[in-house]
Amino acid sequence: MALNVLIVDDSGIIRAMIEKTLRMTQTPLGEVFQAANGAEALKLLGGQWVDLIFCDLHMPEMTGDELIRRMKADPLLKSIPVVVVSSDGSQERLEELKALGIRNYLRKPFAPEEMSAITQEILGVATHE
Amino acid sequence: MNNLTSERMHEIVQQVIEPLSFMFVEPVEHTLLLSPDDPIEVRMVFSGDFCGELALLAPSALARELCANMLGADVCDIIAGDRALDALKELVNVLCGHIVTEIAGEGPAFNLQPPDCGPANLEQWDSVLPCRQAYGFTFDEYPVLIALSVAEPAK
Repeated sequence: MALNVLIVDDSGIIRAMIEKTLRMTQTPLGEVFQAANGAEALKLLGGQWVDLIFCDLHMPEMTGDELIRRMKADPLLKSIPVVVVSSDGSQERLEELKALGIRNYLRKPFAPEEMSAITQEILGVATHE
Repeated sequence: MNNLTSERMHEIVQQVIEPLSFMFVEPVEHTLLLSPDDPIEVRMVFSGDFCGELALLAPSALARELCANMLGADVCDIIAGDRALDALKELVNVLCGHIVTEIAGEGPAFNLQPPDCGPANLEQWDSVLPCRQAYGFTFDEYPVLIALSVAEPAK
């Protein structure tokens, strides 16, 4: 099964890096969408089916926290797994995010193997050596 | 409040920057670094249990090479501009997150402001050199100055 993935980060470089890393994991990908903030992501989610979201926290217009809150309040979006990708190492913040219902957390910088492990764990996707 | 030793700072910068930039990071006595012709500066403010600022000064050519490395592109294909500065800002963003966690521990949450980036001049470069919390590095062959200031939050 090919997965549609949405990458939400205000840095174009990081969006490109995440997509590149995701392709290195050989996860079978369908469409890879990108959004520069939570508002753009919500707009995109209104018109596209997405299986997995990688999301930054600190973004202009709408933060990652707010995006996750709004998704969890939407019956159509609340079951989409969200992986937060951030440099924030705070346990307090992590607990807040877990309470919001995130599926996992990747701390920058991360290795392709960490991303691969997360996609496999969440989606049961078989990757090839 | 800031219990970060020079050795630990060097370790953090290496651990964060090398996998992100695909550059070799080497600590250098910061007062021995030669100022580049065209320095740029990225500053990032953080606040929480304590507040402060992280500044990074480097030649503008570093931003282009960094951008190329992060994208897996040829440096000739990277034009100097927003995308190259975006790469440098992201590098400082990630570094700042790790430094703040190192000082504060993994418990408290901090507010990290978006990095601010712009051209610097030689006076700015030279003004960092006497700082007590200035650290020198080379990222590949590029001289890089990092300065950290930490203070109690305003009551």
